[in-house]
Amino acid sequence: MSKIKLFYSLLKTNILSITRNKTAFFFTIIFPLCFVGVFGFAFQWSDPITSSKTIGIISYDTGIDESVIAFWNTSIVNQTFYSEEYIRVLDTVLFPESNVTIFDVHVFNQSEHEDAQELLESRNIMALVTLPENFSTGVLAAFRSKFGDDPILTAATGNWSGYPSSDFKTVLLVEGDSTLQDFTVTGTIIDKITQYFFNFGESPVEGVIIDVYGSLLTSGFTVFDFVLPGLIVYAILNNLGSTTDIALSDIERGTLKRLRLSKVTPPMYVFSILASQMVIAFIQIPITFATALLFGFPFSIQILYAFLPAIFLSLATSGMGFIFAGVVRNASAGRGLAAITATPIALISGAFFVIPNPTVIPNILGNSVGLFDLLGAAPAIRIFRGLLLHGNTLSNHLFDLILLIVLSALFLALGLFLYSRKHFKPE
Amino acid sequence: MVEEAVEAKNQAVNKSLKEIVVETKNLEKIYDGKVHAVRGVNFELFDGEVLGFLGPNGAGKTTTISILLGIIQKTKGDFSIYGKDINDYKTIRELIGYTPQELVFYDFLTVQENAELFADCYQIQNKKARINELFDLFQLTELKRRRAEKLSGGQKRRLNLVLGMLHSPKILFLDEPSAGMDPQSRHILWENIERLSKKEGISIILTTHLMEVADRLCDRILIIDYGKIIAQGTPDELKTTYGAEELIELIMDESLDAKLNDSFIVDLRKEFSKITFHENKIKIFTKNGASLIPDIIEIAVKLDVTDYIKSLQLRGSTLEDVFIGLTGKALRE
Repeated sequence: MSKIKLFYSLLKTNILSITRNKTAFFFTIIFPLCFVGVFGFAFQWSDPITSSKTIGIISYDTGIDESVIAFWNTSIVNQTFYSEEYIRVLDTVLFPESNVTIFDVHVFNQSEHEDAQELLESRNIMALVTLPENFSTGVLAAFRSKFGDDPILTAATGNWSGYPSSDFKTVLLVEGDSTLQDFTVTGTIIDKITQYFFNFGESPVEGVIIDVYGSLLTSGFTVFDFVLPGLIVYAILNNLGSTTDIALSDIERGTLKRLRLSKVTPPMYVFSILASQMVIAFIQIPITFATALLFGFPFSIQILYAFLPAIFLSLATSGMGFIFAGVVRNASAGRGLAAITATPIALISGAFFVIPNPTVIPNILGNSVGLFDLLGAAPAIRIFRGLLLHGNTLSNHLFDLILLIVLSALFLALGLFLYSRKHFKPE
Repeated sequence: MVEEAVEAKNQAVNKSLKEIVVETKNLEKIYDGKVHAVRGVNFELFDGEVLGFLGPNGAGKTTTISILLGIIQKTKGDFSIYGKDINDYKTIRELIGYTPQELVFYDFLTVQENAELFADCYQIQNKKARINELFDLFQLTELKRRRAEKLSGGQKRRLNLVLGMLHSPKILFLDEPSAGMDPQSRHILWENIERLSKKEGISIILTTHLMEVADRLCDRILIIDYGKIIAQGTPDELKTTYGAEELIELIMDESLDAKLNDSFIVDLRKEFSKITFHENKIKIFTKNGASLIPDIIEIAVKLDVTDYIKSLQLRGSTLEDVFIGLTGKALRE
């Protein structure tokens, strides 16, 4: 019990070191809010993104065998190529309360694949969707997976023996330049429509509009909406300075020596700093989000999911803070280094806009890892964007979450090694 | 000869005192293989004793204390605290309290918050009562809601001291605890340290540059220079063994021409072998002071500086005289 009390006292002291220090308070709390205010003021009243995105589609769909679908007695019995219906949906989806279609769809023949690629590279089309040979089979498999061996359907259709297994999967390829914000938006909408299509919505066109666009935003999509998740990550990245400051000020002030003469152990001391940074991150998320709401950012309950990645982003940031504290000569050098590092990290991680991120690991668990992903902030930004803009859950970002956890563990291990080697051993 | 005399004194002192609570044997500290900060220090601290460490800046006092606290690693030698060595640090740290010469607390916390934090760090059971007791004693009760950064220098010193005493240590290391304090605050501080150490039976290792404090408060004194103990004993023993029997002190008027002043000192040096000059004070250490005063007057008359002698005093030697005699340096705070 007294150990908990001791830990709580250290935690409280570390938090007060930020909230009672004007500079630290400004950089961790006020500064990110200023960013939200500036972006919100500058962009929130700009027009929503309502111009159609030009996309290309090439279909290699070979359709489905008549003998298989003959068991199905609905109106789509004669519709052999489900890809045609899919393309029709993409072509007719509208922006909400608008007659403007989201996509301007160009269908290419299989022989025109190279032309389509050239148009993609020249950015005349924003995304290129390639439908595989087994696309229609995949649709039927999804149908069986969703409805199962329903007894009524079974009675109506005879039996399900000719259907593809419900485990069968078909893979659509959506290509584009992932460094472009437009592709990020386009790709997400295509993904949502595809999910909806394979989920057999009752009213595809209307439903897709509500489902996809409604989950993005309720009243249009602006640059501010795109930037906000990055700003939350930027706020947490600013804690880099406070971790470095606490860890080094305790040495300069002599308080670490005094604490170490008491019953405070090095792990307890370090964990109290990490925990204080998590608490600060937990304060930053709701106040940044609440400020964004004032500037018209649509409320999303998905913000609750953001606390989990925030823990690991906070740990990764604290890890970096300990690395700085373990290598610099004094607290002012540490503070300076942290101050000039947080913003560039946010920038190259894509907090404000997406920038090119050269691939360093092409394929790990079916995902690629970019150079700037290794700083920890980029996966967090993708998760936050997915949660707040696209209405995703954490399961949609499992790879990024795992990457963030691994990176936070690595930063922490290195930071604590350097810090303890320099400051915990007797001189 | 001097070392033998010191050893004999030590043995005599040791016999008359109680249990040994701190013992060092040939303690050494060499930084980076070059700087020899502590050279073979041997001493004992007895139960309930106040042991003073005197020495010029950089003599090795703080380094020696830091080794005992486990903050700095010794290069050679051994030490024990209540019979435990550094490997039993968990036990040791509960027995020791430390007040560093720097002001070590959190500026942004209030006086009360600082005390509660460090009380929690020592897992003190009845912390409120203990904090109140020390606050009353060191006159911090009225200031407990004030942020530490807003305290005066003396108040900060008192808080610094209280934080080292919260857990009722058996041994207290006080490293220049009154540095920068005004005489009144210093008086209150020393009076309370003395009262508390007697009441709670605390043994104290104290470093200070204040000779009169060391003389009044310390049971024994170690004089350290260049990392070595060069003398030790009770204040009276040190004065008897190392002090001149008498001291003639002349205080010169500040308006005295510098050249004339230098000539006066040069002429005095021709007559007397042991002279120190600091600011406007000339000290002559001698065995038969009274008989030498006419000689001093004669030199002053010859150089026509008699009007510039503000005072001439003959007195017994002080601890400061002993110190200057041994180290050749004036102590400074």
